Amino acid sequence: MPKWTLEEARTVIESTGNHRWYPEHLREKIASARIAAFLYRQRNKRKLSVRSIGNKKANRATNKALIAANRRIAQLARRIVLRAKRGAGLKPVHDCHPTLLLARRKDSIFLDGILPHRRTKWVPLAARLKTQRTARLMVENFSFLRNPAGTMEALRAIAEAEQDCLSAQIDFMDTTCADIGPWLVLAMMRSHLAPIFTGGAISNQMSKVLDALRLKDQLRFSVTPSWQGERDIWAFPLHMRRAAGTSTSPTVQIDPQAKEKAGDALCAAINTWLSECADQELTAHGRRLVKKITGECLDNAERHSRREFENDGDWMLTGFMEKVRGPDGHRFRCQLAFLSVGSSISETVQDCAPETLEAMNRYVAAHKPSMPNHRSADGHLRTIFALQDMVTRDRHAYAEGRGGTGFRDIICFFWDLAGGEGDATLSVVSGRTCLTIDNTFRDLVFPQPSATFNIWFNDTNDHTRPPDHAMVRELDSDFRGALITMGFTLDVGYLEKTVDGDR
Amino acid sequence: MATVDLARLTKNEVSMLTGHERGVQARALFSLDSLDVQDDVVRIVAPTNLDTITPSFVQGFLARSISQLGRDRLLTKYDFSTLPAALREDFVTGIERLAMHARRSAAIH
Repeated sequence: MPKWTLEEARTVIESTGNHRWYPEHLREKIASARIAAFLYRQRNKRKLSVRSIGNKKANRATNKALIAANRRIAQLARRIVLRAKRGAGLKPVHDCHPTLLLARRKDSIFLDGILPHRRTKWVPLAARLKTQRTARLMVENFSFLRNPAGTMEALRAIAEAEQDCLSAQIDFMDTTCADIGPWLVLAMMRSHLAPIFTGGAISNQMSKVLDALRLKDQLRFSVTPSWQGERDIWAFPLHMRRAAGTSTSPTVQIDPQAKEKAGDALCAAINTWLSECADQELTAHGRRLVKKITGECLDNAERHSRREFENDGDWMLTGFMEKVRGPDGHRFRCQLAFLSVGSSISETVQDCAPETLEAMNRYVAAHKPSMPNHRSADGHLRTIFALQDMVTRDRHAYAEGRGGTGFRDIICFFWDLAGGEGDATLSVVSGRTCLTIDNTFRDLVFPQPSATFNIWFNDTNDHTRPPDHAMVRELDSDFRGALITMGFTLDVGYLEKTVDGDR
Repeated sequence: MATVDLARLTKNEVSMLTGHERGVQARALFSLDSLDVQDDVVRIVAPTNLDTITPSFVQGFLARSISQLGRDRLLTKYDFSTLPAALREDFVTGIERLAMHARRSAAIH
């Protein structure tokens, strides 16, 4: 059988024009069937072994069996075409590009977490030609800040469709972007999904966000938003670190870091946003807060996300500011999301020093009975414990008396940046846990510089009491990695006050 | 007086220093372990474009110094006076975190 590529085979099949004698409604079916038959033969035909000086094993009997098997393969392939000629064969897949049939399952830490049996249940694309299974997914309220369980369910549905459908369409029903976090997750997922998604609906406002963030390339969306009217989106396009475990430089930690450059770039972006919408720039204090929150989030991701690549995990970061018309004029809403893929917080924190592990186990044992409706109460409680000061999985750091304050910095810098009022919300999504942090506990929890930071997610901030169920949401699927996503309204007046030193 | 110039880390490319491991490696680069056992004061200087040092970097950078010298001796051993106020504040924040570790909160254990 000639070693043709699929494109070459398609060209040859179409140029012969054998199917032009058939009724018009069958022509496309027959062409698709010929390609399917070609793929079937190419995949299943077995090579004969040739008797030579170095290969004494080849014998006539084996080759005879192989010839018979190949004849059977050719027969079955022929049947695919015959069925199409009778009009009962494969339906033409209008939105299915031939190269789709060459797609293979890609290993993905994240997708294997969402679908634990993906490795065995993933159906090869050629086999899907038989089932012709399609799906139309409707995704609504796509936000970890407001709807973590539903959002995770939507991501799972997308992964499931990729597992066994020949084509699928996704309709994103939200008119605005309530949270950039799930979009960042979807962008990461898409690089491991077969290209079965063939379109769907999306609002113009949402298209503008994806276009401005350059996420549409990563998502493989061919959206062309209309940018008419006053500008209302300012973007911090996708930034990502090289793949985990690929650092080769002997001075990798001495050289300027990608996370430091990302912090600088984010500050520059916010300055552009502010100068365009309010004729001002970030104050020195605001600039430092943005850099610190970026630096600490990304340092956490690099250090802890991949247990097998110590201090060399990867991350993705994106964000944008949107001008929103409100009852009392315009508001400027910012969103930032930091994503790292690998192990969940509740898993990695168990690498900690024995005394910390003992304290964590005591905390889990004390409160697990008070969360009977949570199947993953253990993971929720361990994730909460990991946020507390001086809890670190890095035993070396613990022995040296450092570390375990990364989340304190992330949460406190976020509260500082958001101005302590309004609709600021931060979600930490990891494992089967989504922790939502808003301004409710700010005054109760915000520590003095030399005091310990503890956030126990209850109204007295007491570690002897269980966390409030409204703050701890359970996810039905396993999020392998950690997502920190935040949304807050930028208070221009607050930024001016910080210039005056009122704070 | 020994001088630690943070410009060797920023290389005029970044305006922030962050990360535990980066702090630990920087400590080795400037041989702070041997400087800690000498009597000299160590002056920290920074390039003008450096405006932010995160607590994680300071912790990696000075954790072993604080365990050897203690908080008060560390603050006299290391001279941060030539740094801008914001960077001095960042170093103090990081040192406070290290001091907090030394106290090991009873809230958890």
